[in-house]
Amino acid sequence: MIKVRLSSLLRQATGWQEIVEVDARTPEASLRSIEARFPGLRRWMYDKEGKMWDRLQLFLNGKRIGRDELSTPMQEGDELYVLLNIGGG
Amino acid sequence: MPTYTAKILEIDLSSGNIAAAELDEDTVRRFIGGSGLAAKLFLDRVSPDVDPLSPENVLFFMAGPLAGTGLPGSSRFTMSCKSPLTGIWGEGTGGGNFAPALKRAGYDGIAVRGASDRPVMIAIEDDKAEIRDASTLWGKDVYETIDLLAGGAQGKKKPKILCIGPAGENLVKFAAIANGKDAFAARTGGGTVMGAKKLKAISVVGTGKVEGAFPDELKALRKETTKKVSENIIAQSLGAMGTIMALDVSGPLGDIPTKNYSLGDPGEMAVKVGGGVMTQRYLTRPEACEACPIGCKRVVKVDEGPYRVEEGPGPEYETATAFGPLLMNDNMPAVLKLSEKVNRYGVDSISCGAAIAYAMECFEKGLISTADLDGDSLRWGNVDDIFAMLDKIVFRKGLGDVLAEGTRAAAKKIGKHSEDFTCEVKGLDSPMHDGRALHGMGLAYAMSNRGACHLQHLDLALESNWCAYPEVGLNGGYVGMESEGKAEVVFKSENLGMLTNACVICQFNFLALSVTDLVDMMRFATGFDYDLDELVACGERIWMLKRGLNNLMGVTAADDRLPKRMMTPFKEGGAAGSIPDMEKMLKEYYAFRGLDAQGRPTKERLDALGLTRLAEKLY
Repeated sequence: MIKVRLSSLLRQATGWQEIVEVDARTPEASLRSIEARFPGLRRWMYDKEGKMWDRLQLFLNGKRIGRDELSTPMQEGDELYVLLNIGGG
Repeated sequence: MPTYTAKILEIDLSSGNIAAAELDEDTVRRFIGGSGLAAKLFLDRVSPDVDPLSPENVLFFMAGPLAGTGLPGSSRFTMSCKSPLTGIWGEGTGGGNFAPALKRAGYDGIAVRGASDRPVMIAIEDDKAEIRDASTLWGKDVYETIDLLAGGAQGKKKPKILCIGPAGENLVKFAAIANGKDAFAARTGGGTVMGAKKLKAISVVGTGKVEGAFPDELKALRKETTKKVSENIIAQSLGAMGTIMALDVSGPLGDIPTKNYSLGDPGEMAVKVGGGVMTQRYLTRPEACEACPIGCKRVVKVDEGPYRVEEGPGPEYETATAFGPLLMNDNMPAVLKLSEKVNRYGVDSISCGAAIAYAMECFEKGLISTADLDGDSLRWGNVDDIFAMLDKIVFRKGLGDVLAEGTRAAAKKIGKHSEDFTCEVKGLDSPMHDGRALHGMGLAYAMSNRGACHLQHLDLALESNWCAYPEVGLNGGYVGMESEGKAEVVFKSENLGMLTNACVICQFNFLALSVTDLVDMMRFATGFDYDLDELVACGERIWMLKRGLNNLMGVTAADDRLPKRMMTPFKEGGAAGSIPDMEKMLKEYYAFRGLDAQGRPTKERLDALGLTRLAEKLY
């Protein structure tokens, strides 16, 4: 299983669940899996055309990954941190 | 110029004279309103050599030409004067409801000069204005003052209040001005100038109507832009969790100032005082300024424990960080209580947090001792120590009296190379963002006309890719920890920042809009046939005017720099090893801006912008 950790705003859509375990093997599949389980996440992750928001940032085992690394193979126990980079003033 | 009343209410607290000064069309078209128009009026009426706390300093409270129209984010006000904290141009903006009420009363702004020998307030009710005794209010905190002045009335007759708290009365150099209990023009010490003038409060009741030049077009634009803001994902997220959400997400990016800007990774400490915890455990409801579809304000309550907080305004990101990770404090109820005290005292949470952080580092390094603290300690993360020092600063007790002068002055007094523990530019303490994580922000701090600031421009939003303005060449896709291309981003985003503070529109609302939307707002509201080029040129003109005022107040190229602390790379965290290439960015920036080697606007650029009076003073 893969651990998907969500930043606080996203947790509002999971009933404040911070870590969601998914059976997936890439970051992209992990995102699709959590979105299917918690449909309220969709608007925070994708625009109306289904394109991932620029400010959605992903960290695989603590290292930031780009949009071209969504197919990176993941291993059992890996953690994908999904962070919606908004706030501050 | 229909939404302009073309009147500034001029009040001399020394003589008691009250008069309305007329504004001419050319001036308002070129300097717009808010802090832009205030800078022009300051240039014409006040000596740059003025002592900030003397009666001769003039304090401007300004609305913008969009206030009262119901356009999204149009209800902010600005405060401007020569700053007692920095000794240069000072300004701040606050949300709330004062500006629309002032417009409805018939004024674009208020200019206060002179000083009273006893506490007074200014009461405005439409075309009537008077100076009243405020002896019974002196000594009251912000919440008490608001309740006493606005508690009973309802509806249109309910006054909208600006006031200071004990920090302003005690001339703490970074005292804030409150609009209600939850909106503050906090930076650069406008509240201190009110205190020096013995001006406790201004109340305004406005029952008139603000009419745009093209009412039907304005109404349609209001509907369209409100919808745009409401549907924008950034605006929605700010409404959902407030600005404090940044504490949950900026840690991995290296953009949460921790332990006086010395650590690059706050770890779980930031999350413990962040938006998730506040929303889950302490939020009672969100709140919005007048005419705002976002509602980023938080109302909180702490029911139990040692830090109970009555239901009231919760902290913004800046306050929660300045009294959280900056001081190594991860106690959320304590942060909420400290935020309430900061509000009640009427003090700038950024500069106050920075002063305590500076002193904590001095204590840690042995530069000050328990003897200097009247037997107390000042330990990182120790909540009791933080509460005690906050009180000492506001009431100028012991070392607090030194810190109340600001970190630059305190470091001069304490000496021992303690300036290395300050993190200020031109005397204004850095906000809770870091030039090592966002290189453009580093340049923007160095060049901001009020000292280190994150709101004199739109760099934070642009470098974070929350928005883009392709109409002016700000196309997005920026990388925070790169210096390449950032001089142009900062130059252009400053011009837009000057516009947001002159049109006086909330930057969060503006993130969802285009520059063309702002042009349309201004055309339909004022009737001026602005196009995009003319409006952006107004932004550039206003920036240059403030820079020129600063030159007259002593600013040179040597002041355009980042503090040593922010030029020291982190060993850990998301921005480890990163420092902005200031030499490169400054060189490129000076060329974009048209500054000479001494840091003055070139005469050619001033002439091109029609700033001939400023050019005469500078050359």
